[in-house]
Amino acid sequence: MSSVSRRVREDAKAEAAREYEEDEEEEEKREGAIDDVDDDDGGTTSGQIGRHRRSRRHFGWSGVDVDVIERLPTPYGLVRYGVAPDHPEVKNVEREYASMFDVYGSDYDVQGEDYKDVDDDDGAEGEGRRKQRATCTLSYFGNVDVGKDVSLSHLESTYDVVVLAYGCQSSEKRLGVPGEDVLDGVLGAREFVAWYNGHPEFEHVGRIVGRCLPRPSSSSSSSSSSTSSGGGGGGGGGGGGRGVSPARVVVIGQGNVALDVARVLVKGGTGLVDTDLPNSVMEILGDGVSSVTVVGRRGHVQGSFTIKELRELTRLKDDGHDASFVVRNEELDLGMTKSSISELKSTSGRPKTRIDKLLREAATSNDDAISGAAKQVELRFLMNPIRFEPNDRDGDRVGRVIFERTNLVGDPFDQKSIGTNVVESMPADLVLVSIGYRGMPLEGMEEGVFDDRRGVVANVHGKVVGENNLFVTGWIKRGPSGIIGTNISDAKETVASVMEYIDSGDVVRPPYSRRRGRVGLAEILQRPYVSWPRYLKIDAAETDRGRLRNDAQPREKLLTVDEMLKAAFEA
Amino acid sequence: MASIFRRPLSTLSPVAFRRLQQIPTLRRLATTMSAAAAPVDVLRRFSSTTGDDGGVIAKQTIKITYIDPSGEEHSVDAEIGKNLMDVAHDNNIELEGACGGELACSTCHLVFEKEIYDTLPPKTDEEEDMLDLAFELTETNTYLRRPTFHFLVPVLVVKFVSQERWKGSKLEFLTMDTDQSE
Repeated sequence: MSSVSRRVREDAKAEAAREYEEDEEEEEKREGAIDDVDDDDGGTTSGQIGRHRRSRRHFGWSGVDVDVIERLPTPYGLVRYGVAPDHPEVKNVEREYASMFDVYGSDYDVQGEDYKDVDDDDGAEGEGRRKQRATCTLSYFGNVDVGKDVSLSHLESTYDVVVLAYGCQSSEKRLGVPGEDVLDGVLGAREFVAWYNGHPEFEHVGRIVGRCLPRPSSSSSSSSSSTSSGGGGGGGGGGGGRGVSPARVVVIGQGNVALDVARVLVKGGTGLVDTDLPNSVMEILGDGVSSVTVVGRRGHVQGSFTIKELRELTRLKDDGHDASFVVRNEELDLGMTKSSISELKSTSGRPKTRIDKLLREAATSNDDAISGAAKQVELRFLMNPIRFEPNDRDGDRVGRVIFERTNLVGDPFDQKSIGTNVVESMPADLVLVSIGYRGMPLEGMEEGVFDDRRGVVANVHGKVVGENNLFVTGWIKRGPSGIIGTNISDAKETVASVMEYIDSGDVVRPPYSRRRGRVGLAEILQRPYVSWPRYLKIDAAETDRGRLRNDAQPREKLLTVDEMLKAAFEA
Repeated sequence: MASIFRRPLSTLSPVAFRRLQQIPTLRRLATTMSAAAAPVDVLRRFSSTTGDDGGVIAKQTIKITYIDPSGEEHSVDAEIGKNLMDVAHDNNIELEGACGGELACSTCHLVFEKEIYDTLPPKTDEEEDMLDLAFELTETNTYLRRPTFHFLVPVLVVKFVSQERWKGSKLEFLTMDTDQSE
């Protein structure tokens, strides 16, 4: 199990994930390479049109051309490959992003395609667009790998300013316990998410998952396994549960990504039929798995999940997914150390207090919950994984996770989990590890620019340290944390730094920069790149009614780069 | 008298809308749905853009003021029946609404003055959940010193409080810009 390390340049603003915090997918800020900066009104890279206008008031620039470079053919990064299929509202930022291309899309086209001609717009709106277009243009370059198709240093000399927004895509943090690398079926949660979202580089994960999840049992014998849910495997009453896999999945982690994977596993393909979950994933997930246990090393007060995602899990049954939600009062009590109580009482304690209340309510309604449901999601706390053990039937695959019970020790906001030597063995057909992400240096980055300890690019308010024209925004600037709002202000800070840099130095020699910007980039690129209109062709192919399994499905994603390019370049 | 309002989201997702339907009073239903999501007969009650005779009736508006994070005030004519996010956007006020009004983020929240806040309907769980995030990220010292109240719900302007009280009221909105704690 090795996570593919990817160096990507991702789009910014469009990468929502409000729901993701610490060890999770995240919103990434669009990166732009700005060229041809003239003197007057300036525009911005990341941010809305509104912000653009605001900056135009404050800085006297006449124009900014922004190019967004992305390794995959499709933009949006984690909005497309991180946000869960059943959270479509989080993907709404795509609309804003797309509308920016509508307004600012450059009609300069190195490949000779037809761009939407803004001059065709009648009326005030068209007039406004023409005015805006005159001073700021936006281009998209998909299918361009920085490091392979164009070097970072080439970009730095071709553009006035280069903003890096490629997020934290490296291999996830390791647990460092026996069996982690050797046994089949121990995966990073991030890879699992990328797979169920149809990421072109994670198709192989589907084969592993398919191997590890036992087929739904065709007999109607109810299982009396002591550690799994009260409900049996196949053949539950009332039509539900016939195709539920008797798999037991263990998710290690306490963030929203951990909850996402639990929810997707329990809903199964059937429960996600109206989403953009790809067909091939639907087949493998079937009607869901019978048991998912989400295990955290610390207590529920320390968990980085947010209440919206937790509440969603408590409502699975009501929403018709035949899945109960279980949490143990004893473990909630165990986590309520004096320090935890202080944490709840602090100024930032309100969200945690509400989480505590929600979980307590869930714990007391456990007895009703367990009986009758074919599937179960359980949250466990204060358990530290110490070993993975092989499956009795197939020694190459994982079969059990051995946990050590922990206690919380320490001051408020600094509590650590200390082992107690009490162990518990949890059966597991599949293990998903969700404990954090790290950034990686981009190929060609200079020494000293990447802060290895923190896993981010060293910067001051978004300006990369050293003599260069590099900037950073998003996770690769701050580390993998925050929500939509955090990224908006992050982007503003970086943009302010960019403007300061341009205003103060002589990066740009009026009236025109000598750098060649997108013309220069296009000359360097050997392979065809995906422009915005070409991306719209991919979008159209994915949303083509003929391809969809039902009326509600928003899109059936193309799962390989080849298919995407084929759609993009179709006449 | 500066009133500061917390402004809610403009539209509800279908799920939120369904949940609201379970609440008995029509008043609640009316006050917590955006104009766009309301059933037609409720809509007719609150907006007045066309009359039954087909003629166009002047929109009823009241003046309210948005205070942006830099302290700049923007006075606008708020159309009665519209939610406060749409009013802001209609008047080019740069209020974030990253999720488009789906209760999936906390970027559009506003702060209300207590006396207006007290008249607003109770928040749903979903709203409070999103507000948890806003709380964490926007609480600053200066903020806590003022008597402010966070509120996050779709609200029809001036439906259930007297117009007089809302007239001239000021809505202050915060964004991450005002967050000093990072």
